[in-house]
Amino acid sequence: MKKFTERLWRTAWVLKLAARNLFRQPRRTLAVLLTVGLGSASLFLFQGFNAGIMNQYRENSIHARYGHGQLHTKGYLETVYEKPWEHWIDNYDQVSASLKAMPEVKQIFPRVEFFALLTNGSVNVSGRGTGVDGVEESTFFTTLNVEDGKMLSGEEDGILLGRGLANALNVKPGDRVTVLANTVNGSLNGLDLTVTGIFHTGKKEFDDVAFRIPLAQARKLLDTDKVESIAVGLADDGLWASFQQRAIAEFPALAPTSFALLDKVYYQNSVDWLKSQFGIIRIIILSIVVLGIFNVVATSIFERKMEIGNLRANGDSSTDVMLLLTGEGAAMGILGAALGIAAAWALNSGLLSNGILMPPAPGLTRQFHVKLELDLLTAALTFGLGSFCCVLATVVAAWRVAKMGIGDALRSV
Amino acid sequence: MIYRARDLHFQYWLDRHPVPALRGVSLEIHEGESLVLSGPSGSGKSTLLALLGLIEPVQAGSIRFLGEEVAAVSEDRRNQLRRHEIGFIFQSFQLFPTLSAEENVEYFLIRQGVPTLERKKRVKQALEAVGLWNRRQHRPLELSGGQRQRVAIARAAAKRPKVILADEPTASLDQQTGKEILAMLDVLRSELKTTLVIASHDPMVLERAGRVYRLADGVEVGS
Repeated sequence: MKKFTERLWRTAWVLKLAARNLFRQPRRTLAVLLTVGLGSASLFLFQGFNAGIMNQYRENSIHARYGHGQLHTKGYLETVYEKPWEHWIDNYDQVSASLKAMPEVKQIFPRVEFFALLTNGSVNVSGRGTGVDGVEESTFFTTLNVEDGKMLSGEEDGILLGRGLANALNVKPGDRVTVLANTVNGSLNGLDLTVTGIFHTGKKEFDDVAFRIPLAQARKLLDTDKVESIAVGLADDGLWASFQQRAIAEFPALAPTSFALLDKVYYQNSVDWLKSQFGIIRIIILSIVVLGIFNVVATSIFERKMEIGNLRANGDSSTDVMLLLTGEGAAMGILGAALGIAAAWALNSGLLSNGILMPPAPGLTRQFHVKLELDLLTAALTFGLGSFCCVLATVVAAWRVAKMGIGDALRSV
Repeated sequence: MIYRARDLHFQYWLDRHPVPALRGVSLEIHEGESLVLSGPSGSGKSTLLALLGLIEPVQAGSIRFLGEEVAAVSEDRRNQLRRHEIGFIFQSFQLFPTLSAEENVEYFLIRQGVPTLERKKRVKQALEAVGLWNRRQHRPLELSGGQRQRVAIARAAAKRPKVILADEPTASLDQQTGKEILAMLDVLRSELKTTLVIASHDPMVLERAGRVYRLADGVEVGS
């Protein structure tokens, strides 16, 4: 017990000396703190930027077209049918009522897609139409670029045209367009609609053929009460798994598919590609940070060879010296990483509170703000990494100094 | 007998070239003795002092310290011998700048495991002996060169070592302060009945030496 108390007391004194050493060379301590702090802050902000970009991609994908996911009849997405409408969802009213009652679901967006001929009386152009619930969709799908007029909303006879289609028909908002299509029974049907707006997505081949009309008009045109798909908007991005489970149980004939699968080429591939790219950049940043910390910490330890020689000459073992220097390194690592993370958080809450303006990403037509997503888990991980690097750098440098000859250490200048 | 050194050889390596520092030095040092290792720069006196202080490894020859063959003892035992039996005084003082004079003296006593009451007593005695008790709270940077060397002496003496090794203790001081330091070392040696070995070529040190061991080019040239 006495020996233990004695050892504890000796250790306490070593740590006391370590703590005082931090204030002995303010510039040296500041250099280490700044290196660890800046390194931790850089990693923390970069991680936040990564998360922000990924979130922005997710939000773009969800709010551009797919919602959080869609329901189709089973096998519909994987199969090409001669008469696809025979495989559409035929009990829509019942399904929609059940979906709206689900706790995860905030909004639903029934749709039908069809091919049609559009005419202004003199020019005929083929197009691909989507029947949508304009009121619901206008509040959720906010990333569509309407360059003239407005989104399809409550208008009963409105039509929203892709840019290429509108150019071909030479129409503008307020003009009338006739849409001709085959009903599900094979007969020809037509609608006279008023152009509410013109949109573009940046994909010419899509803008040249796409148009949207109210779902009720589309069902009338096709002479069906079915819907092809139901997109869902959830109360929270994290609720998909729970919704999927509930939907499978409640609608055995339907298959829910998440936006990540529906939009695999744009969303999932982009995210996977960015993750790999960010992973490489993260390794580069981490290497620079680690080397910076190693350099500063090692220099500050090598400057103290004489002092360490004195300790060793008076009987301190290399372990005692390691404990002293590691104590100092740990204190600086913890303080530096904490300061860096606090500074990064403050920067994000102040100067970067509106995010960072980015040019249009692949598949997008607009600039967008990326908000840095900083969270406690990332903060804790970065803090741990910053502190660990400092301690590791200290241990490596201290090991070299503690193991050098006492005479060599004392002769150092 | 404190030390018995036989046929000591030692060389440093500079750019992969061996530079001999000691060439067959033999020496005996008795308890309570005051010995000065003297010689011009590069004669090997500091190297010999380092070997006696167990801070350089024995490369060839042998040193017995307090009856133990230094080359044969473990690293732990060497640490223990340095901690308890040897006090060092360096030319550049080697005080901890962040600790007060009192803490500088106390630090190595804690490392020795001296109980608190005894430790406090020894610190007070040592600092009073060098006339710095009233400046015990001052840190090294707040003290003059002479005062710093006195703290270093107090630190070495408080350990109650069998031998105090001093490397050029007056080299950084003016003549008057150097004289005071040497007088202090003499008093401490006789009071503590310790052995004092000084490496120096300062004539003032040589004048006060009990015995002088002269070196030149790493060999003994007379006692």
